[in-house]
Amino acid sequence: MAAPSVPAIDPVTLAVPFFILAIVLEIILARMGKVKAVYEAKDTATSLLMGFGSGIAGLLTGGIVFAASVWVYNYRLFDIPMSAAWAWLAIFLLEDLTYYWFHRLSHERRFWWAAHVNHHTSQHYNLATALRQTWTGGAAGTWALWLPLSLLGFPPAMIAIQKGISLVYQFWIHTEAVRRMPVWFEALFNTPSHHRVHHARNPRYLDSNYAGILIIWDRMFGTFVPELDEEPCRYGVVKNLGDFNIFRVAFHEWVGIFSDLLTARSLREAFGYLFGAPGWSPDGSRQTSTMLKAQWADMQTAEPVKTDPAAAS
Amino acid sequence: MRFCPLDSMAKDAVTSGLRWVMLDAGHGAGEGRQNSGAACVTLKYIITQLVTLAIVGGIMGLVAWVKIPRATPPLDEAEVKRRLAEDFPQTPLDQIWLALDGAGAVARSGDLALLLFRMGDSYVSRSMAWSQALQAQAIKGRFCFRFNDFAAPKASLALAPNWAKAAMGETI
Ligand SMILES: [Zn+2]
Ligand SMILES: [Zn+2]
Repeated sequence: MAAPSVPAIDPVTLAVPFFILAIVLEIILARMGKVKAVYEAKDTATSLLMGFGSGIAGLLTGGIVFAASVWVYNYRLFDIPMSAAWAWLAIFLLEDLTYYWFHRLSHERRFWWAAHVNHHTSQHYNLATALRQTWTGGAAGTWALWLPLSLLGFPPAMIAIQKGISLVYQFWIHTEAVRRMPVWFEALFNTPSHHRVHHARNPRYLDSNYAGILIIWDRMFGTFVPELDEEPCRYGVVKNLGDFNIFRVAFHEWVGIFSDLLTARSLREAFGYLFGAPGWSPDGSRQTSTMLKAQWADMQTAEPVKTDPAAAS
Repeated sequence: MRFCPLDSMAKDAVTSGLRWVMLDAGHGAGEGRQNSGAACVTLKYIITQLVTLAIVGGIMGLVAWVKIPRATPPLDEAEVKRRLAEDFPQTPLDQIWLALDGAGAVARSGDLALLLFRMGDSYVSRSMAWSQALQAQAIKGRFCFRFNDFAAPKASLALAPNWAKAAMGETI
């Protein structure tokens, strides 16, 4: 029964021509002054090459991931038919919920942040940034979070297709060209505005909007932060990378973890360096996003009316 | 040797996984027969990757041609202060030395040197011990500041040749 498990369609592969066309269109419309988009040559090259490398890395681990999914499916609790509309609605919701927790874990724990951080390393936010995908996600093992869906009885092909749909959906939201969608859409779905906040390094915006397709999970679990017109997003990571080297983009946090582990003086420290929040240090000399947010909040209470220092001079 | 049901299931799973890889690599080549299929998949995969790389090159060329990056006017002190305040909040600056080309700056905050340097059309900042910053060597008119950080190994700034001497004069 192996054959029916293999997805007949791969939404990501089908969407590739659309990705290319959309990027070209965004660039041309920005050049014509029709939409807001900023592209820098080396930054774009890094994003696209990361996307290219991610495809190769995914190929290396994709088989193991899919095999694990099929193996778990053999012990399924229910037989969920791929032909039923309710089954597609259920996988849509459950896959999106899984994505939310995967994404949250990928930001809140350093081991998984190391695999995800590359997606956030651009100081730009455009459709090319969407393709700045992980090389080490398979090795980090977060795919295991989707295995309970196989255990429930969703066919692995169905899960793979829904994962692909989610990835394709998340492409178009990486843009500054769309300011806001209609209110009802912003309330339900992840949008360019919500995801801009997710890519911002302003303390106010850190660790928020983990949604895949539906923003409702962030609203439910308290991680939703709206984009404020008075505080434009500054994109990137708290400590931005010093150059455009794709290997630095892909592996810098892993190297950071490794060099920290070499200095660990106890198992507790080693555990903290591996699974603590990004920025965790034994003596608190580095800053986690919680610390950065607290510092920012203190500054707001100290001087509630914040003026632009450049304009003030 | 007989397979128990578990072995058979595991084998089934691995076969599916391999077919998934084939599908991913060859876009439907999973239908092919084992040997000739494998060669076909490899060829298809290589061609797909080459085409993808060509498209990547095309987009890179387009971006370089249309020139739509952020404006990067030379930094002045106010802009350096604003940017460093974002990255090092509540860190008072004693003095700032601007790079001659306006593409970066060194600022002193007590025992700490804060460095701001341009990367493409964006800026990156790092800190290091002030005493270490003063040791930075000039190569072809640019001072190279080395950080113990794989994410940003160094910053190269076109500071005035005598900046460190002037800075030491200030502090003594
Ligand atoms: Zn993220
Ligand atoms: Zn994103």
